[in-house]
Amino acid sequence: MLERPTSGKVVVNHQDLTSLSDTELRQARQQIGMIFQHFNLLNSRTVAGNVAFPLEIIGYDKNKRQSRVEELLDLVGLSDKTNVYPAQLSGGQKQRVGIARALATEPRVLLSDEATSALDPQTTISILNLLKDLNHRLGLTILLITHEMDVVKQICDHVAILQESKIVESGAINDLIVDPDSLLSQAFFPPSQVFIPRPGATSAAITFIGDAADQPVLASLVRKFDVDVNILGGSIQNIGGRRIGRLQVELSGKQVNSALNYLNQLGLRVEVQ
Amino acid sequence: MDWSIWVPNLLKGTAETLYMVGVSTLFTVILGLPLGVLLVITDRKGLIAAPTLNQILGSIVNIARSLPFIILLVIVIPFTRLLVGTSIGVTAAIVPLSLAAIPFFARVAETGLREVDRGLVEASQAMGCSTWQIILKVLIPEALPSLILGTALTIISLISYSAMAGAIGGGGLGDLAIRYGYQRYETDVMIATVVLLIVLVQGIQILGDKLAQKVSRR
Repeated sequence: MLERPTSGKVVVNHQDLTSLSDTELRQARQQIGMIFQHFNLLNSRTVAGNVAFPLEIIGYDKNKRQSRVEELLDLVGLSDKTNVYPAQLSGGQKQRVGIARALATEPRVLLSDEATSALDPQTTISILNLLKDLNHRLGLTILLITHEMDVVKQICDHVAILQESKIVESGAINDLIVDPDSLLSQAFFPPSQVFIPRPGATSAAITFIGDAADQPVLASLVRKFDVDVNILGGSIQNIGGRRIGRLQVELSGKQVNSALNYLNQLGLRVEVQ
Repeated sequence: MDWSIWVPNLLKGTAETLYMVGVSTLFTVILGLPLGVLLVITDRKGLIAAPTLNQILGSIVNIARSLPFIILLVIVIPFTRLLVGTSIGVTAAIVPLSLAAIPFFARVAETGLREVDRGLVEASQAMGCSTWQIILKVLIPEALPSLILGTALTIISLISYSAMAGAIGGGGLGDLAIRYGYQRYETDVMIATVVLLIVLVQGIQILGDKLAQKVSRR
């Protein structure tokens, strides 16, 4: 928390930051790691010096500092750049230094403020993979602020969407994505053109998630029921490491209702339009 | 011109100039740098926003900088006497020299410190740095190349100010040039002192550039 909010509370690790004094707040900040869009590294210090900086601030034992720095640089894959100055690094490398620095004091939360927005797509992927890896290996909570939906798709478990400074939607990605009305699913699966069903046919959107996305659901549907399935459009995306698909279909025949029930029973989300 | 007399005179003048400028530079940096830091951090958007104090400090600096040095030299005579016990001589000249250079250097330092990326300050705050830590570990080290160049600039201004110190018996190369070279039409002395001053200024600028380049990691 860098600026005191005019109203409301900021709670991190069960601690209400808004109620702290300036000194307490500084100590609380030392338990929160932060990475930035423009890296914000000290140009006058080497890579090792930058990573050691937060350790100096908390008064970390001088003799142990070096081994901790080595450990951190190893973690982000920059062991060979210890004595290099930031000006000689690429954007991705600078962000790795930023991450090592943010993790130096073993924070429980890592705040990522548009950390990949200044990077090219490939570097973005490698930084996101690193963050994901740290999340799994260290059990580190990462709060990621971004405007890139691809980033959300790649590493997020939970999401909160802010619009005009209000949270308009929040929840687990898996829950939101199956809800066709959610802003998130609309962002990932932009509503295609509205299909006017042929006379006698039923138009439906089917959302596949997890195991179901890997199974030949439609084939068995046609085999089991007396229906014709006409696929109008669809896409499959990898979101949070899971395959999620959305199909726009048109069903006709005698057993349309039973067929739709069957799909519901399989745990698929079916939206009849 | 009899060089056997002039060489010791010129050497003495050089030594006096170096002494006056050297000690004044020391005081200037010791007092001017904190003033520069204050000007930056008390700014409306600074670390410890204090707009009123900032305006007062800014005005004092501006007033001090508006005074022609020769006037300042005379105005501060009582203060000099209080501090050094006398108002004439090389040591006494250090007082007005420092007083003239402090506000100058404060502005130069202010400019250098302002160039430090705001993001860096924000990052340091996010890491839990105190204001002191930000000043000592972030602002000053990051602005060091500009501060070194600013110091060289200040030393050169001090050399030129010190020429006027002769007015209060301050001595130095400038004094030699005025008293012997100008008032007694001894052109040789004039040329010799001017050459020495050029070498001095040139040397300090080169030294400053080299040093700034060495600490700059950009």
